[in-house]
Amino acid sequence: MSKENIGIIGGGSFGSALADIIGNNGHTAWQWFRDPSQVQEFNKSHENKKYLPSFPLSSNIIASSDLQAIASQCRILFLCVPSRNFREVAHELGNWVKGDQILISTTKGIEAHSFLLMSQILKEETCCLKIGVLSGPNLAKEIVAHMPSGTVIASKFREVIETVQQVLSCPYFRVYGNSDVYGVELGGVLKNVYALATGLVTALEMGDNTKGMLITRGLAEMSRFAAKMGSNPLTFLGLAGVGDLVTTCSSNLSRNFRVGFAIGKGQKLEEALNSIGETAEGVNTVKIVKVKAEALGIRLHILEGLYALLFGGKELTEVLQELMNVPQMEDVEFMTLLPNHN
Amino acid sequence: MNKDEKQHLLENVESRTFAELKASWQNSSSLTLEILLNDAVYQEQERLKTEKRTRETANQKSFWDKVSKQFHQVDELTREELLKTIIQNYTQEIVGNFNPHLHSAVARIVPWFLKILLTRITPATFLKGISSRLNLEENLVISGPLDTIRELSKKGTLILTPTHVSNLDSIVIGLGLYQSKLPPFTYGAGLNLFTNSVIAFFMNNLGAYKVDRRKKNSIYKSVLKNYATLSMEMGKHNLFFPGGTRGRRGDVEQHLKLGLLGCGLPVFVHNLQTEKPNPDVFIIPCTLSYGLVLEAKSLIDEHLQETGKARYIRPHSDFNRPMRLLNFWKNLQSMHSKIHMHFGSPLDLFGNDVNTQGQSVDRFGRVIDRRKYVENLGKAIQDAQRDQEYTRELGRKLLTVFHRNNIALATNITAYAAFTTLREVWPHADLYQFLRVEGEAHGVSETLIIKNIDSLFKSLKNIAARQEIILDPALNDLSSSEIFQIGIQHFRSFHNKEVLQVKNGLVFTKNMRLLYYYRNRLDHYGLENL
Repeated sequence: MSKENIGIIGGGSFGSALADIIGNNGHTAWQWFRDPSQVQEFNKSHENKKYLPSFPLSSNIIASSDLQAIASQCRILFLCVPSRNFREVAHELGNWVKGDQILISTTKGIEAHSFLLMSQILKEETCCLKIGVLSGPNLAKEIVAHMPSGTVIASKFREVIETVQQVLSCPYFRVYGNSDVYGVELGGVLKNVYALATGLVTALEMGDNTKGMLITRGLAEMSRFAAKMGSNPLTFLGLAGVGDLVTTCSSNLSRNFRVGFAIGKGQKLEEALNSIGETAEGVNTVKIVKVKAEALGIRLHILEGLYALLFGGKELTEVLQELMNVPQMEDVEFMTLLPNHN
Repeated sequence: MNKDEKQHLLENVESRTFAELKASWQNSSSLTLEILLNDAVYQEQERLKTEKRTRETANQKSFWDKVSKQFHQVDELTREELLKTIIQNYTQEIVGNFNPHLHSAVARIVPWFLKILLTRITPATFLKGISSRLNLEENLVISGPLDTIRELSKKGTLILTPTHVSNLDSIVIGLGLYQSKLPPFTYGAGLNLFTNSVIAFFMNNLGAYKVDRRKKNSIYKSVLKNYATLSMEMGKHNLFFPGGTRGRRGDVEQHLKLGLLGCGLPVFVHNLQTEKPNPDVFIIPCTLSYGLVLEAKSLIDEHLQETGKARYIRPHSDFNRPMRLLNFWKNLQSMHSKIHMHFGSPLDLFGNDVNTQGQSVDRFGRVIDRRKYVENLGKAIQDAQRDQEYTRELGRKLLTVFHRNNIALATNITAYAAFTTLREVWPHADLYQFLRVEGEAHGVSETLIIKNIDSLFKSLKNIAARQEIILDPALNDLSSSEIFQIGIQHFRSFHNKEVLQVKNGLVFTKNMRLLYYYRNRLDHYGLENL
């Protein structure tokens, strides 16, 4: 494809990792930072000193704090802002974008009061319909270190999938397509909950059997919830499901894993969050999904246990004991969730 | 449409359908012309086995038998000629005889036409009661942004998308459009409405073309789609029932069939590519709300049979069309019952609202350049997959609008409260068991039902304040008891004493299915916890 201007909205680590791929592929990546001082610093050093220190990034990246200019000149825009600011930024973007532009959300979060995912907020706040979601096992530091990785671009529009594949595919980054937008996005959101739990279990040195069970049962909970929300549970067997879950639950680079680990080591939630210095979306997700699951009448035992521990004042030993006593259900829940299951 | 325009349209439908079908088999590894013809022959022969034998069906049978014998043995070019003949036959069958000059004359005499309709199909003895002119005009309540719609009809091509409740919809809409001084619309009406020559004359001249829903083969569907598309490209306003068929359950449409609705986008792109002066296509949602529904009984029976299967035992049918029609019209005449036709705010083909100036706007009022949706690098392009998604988006928006513009009438409110009150007595019965809870022995207190109407009405007022439903303005200053009385009177006027009866302070039903049908119109508004 011809070289073009591509916008990255957000100055965090994942935004810079994407900008780096795009820049390395010969396109011009316009990365939007809210803070003009970060813009100056980035354009001087070509390094995201705050979130990706010591990683020199592509010289084809131009930092800017002019959202209007970026929105007006880029056909493709990736949104990489934290979920708490997402609606506000999307709304501002809505002042400038037009119906032929492609918007991709990379943010994994749920809006508490509406239970909307970020791609749904994009649809509410802008006139764009060609919307996609990028999700998968994508730790920013590994991507900028050019370690082989894969991701999923989900969209109802074939044009969106093909365009993102062309823009992001490179020798160290593979991009797979999926049309189950909600499932892919929900996978990215829910896995953070189980990364917290796994971090906690790891800190307690509970062993690999425990971790294996936790991750697998976490996957069962994720697909159970997603199926109830209208997604295809089989989406959770892909990169945005199992792939992302396994990575996030076993990597020290995962923010949610690190928060769980810090709590397991005896820190209070607030201390743990302060110590990593970045957003850990999983903490909010636990609260929001618990309310929704109750309303839908679904039991998510691990998530409920985590909630009781983080916000209910329960002791870890008590939570673990309860979890080991929950009814033992089907092993492979995917089978029971499929429409033709007998 | 003058004679030349019509000829032009027919020729284009035929050539475009042939070209499209040819491309479909040429671009496919599994489809051939032989398979296409085989499929059509099989489906048509199967259909004709179940059709009543008439001169027309006999002709059709002989035609398809001939095709069946020929198409395997001939060369590809002869097969193509066969396909052209099939397309030509279908086109001739579909095309209406719309005449704009005749349209206004016809619309003026629609009430008389309805009288003719009655005269034709009911015994004369039943008609003695009808001596005066039917005042359908007074019983049809039209609301919505009519000025804007009239303006938009000059700025682009309109697609009117009504909800589908009754077989009377086409006639009611025809009259409503005329009364609203809106231009005529071309629309596809079921073939059954053309079987009577008198009705056929009016249907043709109200802008209708024939749609035979029993024909499901891809050649027929393609002709039908191209007829609608090409007539729109010529700037003719079209009407589609996006729900496909009449709602069986009584609730507002929950699913839409997007096939014909999807014709709007290729037209828009084509108009942009050919630089037409008014390239836009606007969607006009229209919600029909009937206090009483002519076919309520058969519709709900069909629904329950379909969903309940063996659990639903169809009761003995006391179907009596002449009596039902007579009662229905009598009721309309006596001004008790009204038909509401509410036009929603116009939409563009992408589900955005269109303002009074014809601009697309987002929910914050920001103007949207709708051409951008179909452009790639500044040029309008056709893209079937993209347009399918846009049409889905439009469909989702239409469902919301239908839901929001549904008018809650006294019959619906009374039925909802009575059904809920009765249901509370039988909390453990499943729906199909509960539907048999009929008769005097199962009465509930009238006071309790009126109390429930009171709380239901309050909830509906709250929902209406959020603009998620419309409350019949005629009910505004009425007490719950008065609403109940109106509901009961309306039901009695058409369904006799079947739906609800009051005896010694107790209310009961003799037809729970009908009560369920009228109650369902208020479903999906979160009213379950009355």
